Amino acid sequence: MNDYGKDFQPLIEVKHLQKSFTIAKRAFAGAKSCLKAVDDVSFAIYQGETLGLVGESGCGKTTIGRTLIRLYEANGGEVIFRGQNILGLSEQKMLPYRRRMQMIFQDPYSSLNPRMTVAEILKEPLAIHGIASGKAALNRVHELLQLVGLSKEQASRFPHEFSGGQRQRIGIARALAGEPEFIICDEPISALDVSIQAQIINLLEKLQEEMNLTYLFIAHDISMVRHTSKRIAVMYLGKLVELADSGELAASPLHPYTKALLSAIPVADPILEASRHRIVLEGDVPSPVDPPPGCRFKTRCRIAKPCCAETEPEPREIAPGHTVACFAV
Amino acid sequence: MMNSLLDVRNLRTSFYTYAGEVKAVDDVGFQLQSGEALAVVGESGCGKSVTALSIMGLLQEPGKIAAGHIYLNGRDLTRLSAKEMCAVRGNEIGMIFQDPMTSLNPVLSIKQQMIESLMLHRKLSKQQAISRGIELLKMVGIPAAGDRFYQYPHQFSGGMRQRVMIAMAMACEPKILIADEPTTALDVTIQAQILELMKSLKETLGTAIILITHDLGVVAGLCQKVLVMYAGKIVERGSIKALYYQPKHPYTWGLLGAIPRLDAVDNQKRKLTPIWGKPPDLLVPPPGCRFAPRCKYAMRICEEEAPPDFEITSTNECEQHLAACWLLDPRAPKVEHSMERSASL
Repeated sequence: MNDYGKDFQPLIEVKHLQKSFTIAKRAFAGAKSCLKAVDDVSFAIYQGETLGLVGESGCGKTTIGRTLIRLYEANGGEVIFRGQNILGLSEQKMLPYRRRMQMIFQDPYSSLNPRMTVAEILKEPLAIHGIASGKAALNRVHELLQLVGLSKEQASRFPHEFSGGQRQRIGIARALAGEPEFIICDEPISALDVSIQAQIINLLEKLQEEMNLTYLFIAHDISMVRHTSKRIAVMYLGKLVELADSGELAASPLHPYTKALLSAIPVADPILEASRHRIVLEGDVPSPVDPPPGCRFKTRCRIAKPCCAETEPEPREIAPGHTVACFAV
Repeated sequence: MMNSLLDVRNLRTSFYTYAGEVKAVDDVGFQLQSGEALAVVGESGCGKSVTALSIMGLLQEPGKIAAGHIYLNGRDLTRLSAKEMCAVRGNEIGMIFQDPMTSLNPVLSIKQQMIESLMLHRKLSKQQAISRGIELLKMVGIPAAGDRFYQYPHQFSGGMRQRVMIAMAMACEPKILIADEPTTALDVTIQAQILELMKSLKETLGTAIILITHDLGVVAGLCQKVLVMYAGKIVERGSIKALYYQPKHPYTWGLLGAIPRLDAVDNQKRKLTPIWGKPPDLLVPPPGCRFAPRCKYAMRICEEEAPPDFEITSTNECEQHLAACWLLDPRAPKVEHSMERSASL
């Protein structure tokens, strides 16, 4: 089951991806410093699976998502989509790939243009990719709306007339317009109420089954990621610290950060909660502008050794399909 | 119930808008004993924050307490003048807000913000207030408190700001701490830190806590009693064990069914059970049970008449377990639900 290499083709392979942002150290001053948001990250996503990507705010998970579809230009590394490195492509050559890779955004309130009706929003990708126009486009819009559980009568309305959950459905319909193979879900539910979250997750699961979609599911809520994903990648400060099958990761996490992250999640069960031993991490995430040398987690790690401060741990495959970047494992 | 620390009775809070009266909190009542932690759970717009603001006397126009009483140690807060309320707020009841980024004043140092309430309520001199302030920062676990005391909010991280907020709320040793979604804006590892801190404050200082949240996981570790609110009404209440292991109201089932559980072995096989539809418009609430339009067990009476509180007599717990649902009427059909598990599990 873990032997992905033989059974499945990777749909996307990410190799040594790097993305940094230059920021001014002081306003109006010349000195610039470099924020390494994503630093040498490699992983693969297989056809038809959901890969979960978790980490705390500022760890670079959204940056990875955006760099994958070139909303940000990477500083180094490769993103290989079906055998083609898409990072070097010209805008024109990139266009067909954009149709095949789509994104659902976190905030359903700001990711829809308030001045466009739902029909206009959904027709835009159809026009850009030359899929349909005129009457055919309108039919496709109605089809898309029904697919995500809205009615076609709602096509002429504006985003403000919808609730948060409904808007997220519109965002999903827009992503589906070009019949993509791969969708990046960037915290698609964190802005929604609990009861609505489950609706959206079930919708995403249904669509995945029906259309054989592949998801990169980015979230900070590891219990939701565990629910949706086959495999989970854990990030800390721009680095991938652990990648494993989701069941294995939840049952036997190896990296001390993953352990702390899992134990920090409150469980809706009072008896279990009372008996749990919680690892409370000290302090905050250090600034990614000048990350500490060596392992980036060592400032908050309980089992840090002297060697952790000197060299950076490389991701190693501990068991088939289970990679960890830690010396102590 | 006598000598409760806080006794809220038949509270109705309404917002008088141009469109009409929005009954944000409709006939809510509960008691809080000292040293107890009570959770108020519900989705956005269910009235949980408005309940807290009503207790604090922080309602803004066009909001008003339309009826009901809030007794703090036997004194009715709804009858106090604005000036008398000032002496209660921050002194006897402290409050922390959801967003630690915006609830501190960015142009004042932590020192200036902290000594204000100490000098006002405790009549401390400036020097005394400063040393007490530093002590409080140490208590909430801020390293180098002596230096940090003179810094400004932007120099603190989110978790640290929430610690500062807690220190400020605890400055006058209030008997009640109202925490309105205190960890929603924070990362999980920081959330765990803040929850540990609140738990230790409750244990060492004996402060009663009202925790307002939508996260049933957060509640499980900290509170003893839970109120579940829906559309301005309390739909179910009881001890934490009763609520989690023997929930009786379909809305509580929905809330528990909509969250994935990390510990569940069959996690991926279990489909989440969402609650269909959305909460009602409180300008024109449904005439009967407010949850009826979204409830798959709804009967005809549910649409016609609001259900009374039914008492569930099952466990030997001292805490009352009440649910407002017609399914609990003896004449109603029996509905078994998978969310009802035995506590031994």
